[in-house]
Amino acid sequence: MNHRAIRAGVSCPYRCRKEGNGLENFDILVIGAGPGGYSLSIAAAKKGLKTAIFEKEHIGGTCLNIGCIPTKYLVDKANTMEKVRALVSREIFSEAGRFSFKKIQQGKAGVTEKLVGGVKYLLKSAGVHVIEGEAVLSKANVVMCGGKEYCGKHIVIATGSVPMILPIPGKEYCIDSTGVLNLTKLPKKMVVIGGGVIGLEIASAFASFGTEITIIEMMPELLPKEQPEAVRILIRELQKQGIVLLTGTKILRVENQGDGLTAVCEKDGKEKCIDADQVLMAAGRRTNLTGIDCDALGIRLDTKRCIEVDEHQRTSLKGVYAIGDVAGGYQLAHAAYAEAETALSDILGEGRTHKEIPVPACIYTIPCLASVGLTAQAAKAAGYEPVIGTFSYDANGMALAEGASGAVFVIMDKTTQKTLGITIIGENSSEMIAFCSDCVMNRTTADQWEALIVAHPSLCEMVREAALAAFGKSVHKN
Amino acid sequence: MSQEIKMPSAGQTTDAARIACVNIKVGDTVKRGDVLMEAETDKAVLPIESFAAGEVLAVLVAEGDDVDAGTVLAVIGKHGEGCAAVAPAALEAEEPVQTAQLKRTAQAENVEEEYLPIIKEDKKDAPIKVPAAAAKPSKVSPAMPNAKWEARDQNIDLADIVPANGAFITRRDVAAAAQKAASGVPVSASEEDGGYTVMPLTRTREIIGRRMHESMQNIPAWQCTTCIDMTGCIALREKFISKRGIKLSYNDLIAKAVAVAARNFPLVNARFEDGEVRIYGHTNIGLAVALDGALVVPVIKKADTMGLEQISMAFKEKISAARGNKLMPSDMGCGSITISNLGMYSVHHFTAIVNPPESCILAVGGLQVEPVWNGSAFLPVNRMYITGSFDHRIIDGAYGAQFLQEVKQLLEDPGLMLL
Repeated sequence: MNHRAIRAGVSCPYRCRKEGNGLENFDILVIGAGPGGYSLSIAAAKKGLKTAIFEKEHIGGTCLNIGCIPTKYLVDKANTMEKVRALVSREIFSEAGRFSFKKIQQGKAGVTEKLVGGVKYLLKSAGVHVIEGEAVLSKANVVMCGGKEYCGKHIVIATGSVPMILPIPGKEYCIDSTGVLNLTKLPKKMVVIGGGVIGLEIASAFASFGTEITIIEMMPELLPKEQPEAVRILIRELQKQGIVLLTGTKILRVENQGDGLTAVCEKDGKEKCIDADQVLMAAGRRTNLTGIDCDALGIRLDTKRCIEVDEHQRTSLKGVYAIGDVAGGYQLAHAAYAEAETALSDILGEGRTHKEIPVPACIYTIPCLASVGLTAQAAKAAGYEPVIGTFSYDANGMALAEGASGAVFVIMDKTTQKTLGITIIGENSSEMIAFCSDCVMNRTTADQWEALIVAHPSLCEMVREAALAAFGKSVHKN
Repeated sequence: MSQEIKMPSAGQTTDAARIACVNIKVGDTVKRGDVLMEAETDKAVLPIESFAAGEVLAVLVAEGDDVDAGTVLAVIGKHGEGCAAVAPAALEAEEPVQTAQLKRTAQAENVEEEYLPIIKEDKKDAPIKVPAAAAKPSKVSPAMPNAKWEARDQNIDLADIVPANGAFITRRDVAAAAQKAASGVPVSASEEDGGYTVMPLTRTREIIGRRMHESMQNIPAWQCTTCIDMTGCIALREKFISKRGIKLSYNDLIAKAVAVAARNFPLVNARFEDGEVRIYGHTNIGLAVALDGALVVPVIKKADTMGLEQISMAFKEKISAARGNKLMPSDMGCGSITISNLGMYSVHHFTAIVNPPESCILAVGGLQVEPVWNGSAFLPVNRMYITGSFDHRIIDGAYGAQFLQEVKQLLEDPGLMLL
């Protein structure tokens, strides 16, 4: 172990020794075994640092157990059903058959188990000490768990987030995203409070399963941070699925009618009642600060009650880092991975940061919306002169063969002809966005796009065509 | 220690069963041998008995659920004992969940039909539609002018009316809709004729339908009828009653005759399976037994090795098992010939549908006295008509006719059955 390489935290072991408390000493103590926490622990242990990770509930955190992965299982089945429906409507399939919601719900458990098993194995083989139980950060360098105290040179807070429950009357009748993933019966009607990523994904999957969905969103428009043209396409597709979108609408209360629920909402001063079997509260997630008494410890929070961090993920308390949802920013597992790498790099004294690296974001609706880098508005605000190149799925051979629809939007800078951002709405956008991230990160120029050879037929051709279309160079577009 | 009650294996040909009724609820006390629930397979209704005594800790299936062998149906244990450790996967729904709402769902789940159609049904009463135009069905049927006036007067939307004649809305349709709106009772114009109720399609009914349809579609069946003088059988029957105290039924005698005749006509023992005719070494005879709303065919196996008394006993046993819903899957579906007797309903003659994969079925009418010319005079003779339906892939005309002739000879002179 190369101790000299490790950045000295204030919470150094000397103090522990001075106190003579006989605590078990670690180089890094990580609180929370979600994507950020476990990836940091494994990477740290592989570097030879003595690492312990605390987890009170599920190894793998929200993402693996009650978030992204189980949701994706649902969305995938819903996507398949949409395909089957399309094939039946074209009379390629004579009939669609039947599906079991119960089996879908049961099936995702297997996937989760496998992934969690994999993470546990990786933690074990890397030599990370996994301590199950609720951890409390009692001092800047001491974590208490299960009546024992552990001392760490560095502490990483990766406690994630929990669903936010709006304080409305009747909130106890609502279910959160965890509840919806545990449903054993498909609701006939469901009201989704919140038109954010989680609400839209669940709404999309359940609408495909046959649930009548009404989404209540307080903001006047959905996904205001995404490219508006892409959002419009998404809304159109969601409405085609029968989802009712009520934007600019405020939820007032949820009433229990005995045989069902009624969500009462308000738009422009008018009240509206919507009956439902289930009401899903998907109004966002708030940081989980259980066991972290920030005020007492002197850890600064920002206005959203997220732990304030610098570009190296350091908190205001020396030696203590925060990564993932608890540190604000993107509530995305891959952002947590990146933050984990940054924090570890700082601990090791390497000082790499990810702040300049664009973070792709995917919304796994049907169809999926994926974006990376800047939107046209954001580019304008940042002082660029953006030009938007678009390309429709309807003009792409592969998309037509697959029966996929959607569009690609590439935001280029007019003067430098560099790529600023890419948004894709349509099938497989979550896969295509990976190479888009590379292009945005490296600011691919129009000339470079022109020189790029993309396999034909493939959906990725559209990204190149869209980039070229920004400067009128696309061959397959007027 | 709590114990899981699992779905027993329902037989070789059956991999799924449907829960027909659930007799227990959580908290009930049960003892060994209590019938907890009944499961319908494609052939029978199986009682599911408890092999444990104690309190019902969980019921994991509901009426109408389809279950496979091995599925945990219920958990029995001591009062207050947790059952999560026993069936963690199956009990997912019972786990404490965060909200009251979710608990409600877990309980309501029992009524769920598990498999839903992938193609969505048209939703007519969606609560709110964003585009106002989509709120009504886009297709409004054409209406007669007087129907339009009536609708305007009654303040009824023509889009809500389904025309009774299927083409255009008449004034009567509007009047019916108005009546419906006034009474709040769902009476559609097309129900003016009296309407209908839907017979629940039980698994047994579904299976009868499927198998009979399969028979009519796949089996080139042909029929022939013979008329039998039953004087000998009646005498023999009376002899059995008076001498042995055993009441033989005519089905017993017919079965015996079939078993004896099958020695010379082995194709009667054949079944058409997997594209080939399999001729079995023994004669397994089925008997169609009518139940309330269903029909089962228990089979007596190796009837060729049995005496009349044995056949009679075997049939009595099977019939009472069938009526008590206690037939095992192994009691059915293994015959090559079936006897279907409607004689008790004063039926003279009828034809039956071959029960696949069997080779034939005998449709037996009732005894009736007919005048028979004996060469010098008409004598009153008790006669019975038997109509055989044969699978032509196995049995040709002459063969089938000769078989029936043999059966006729044996029944007219039952003593020959001893040879």
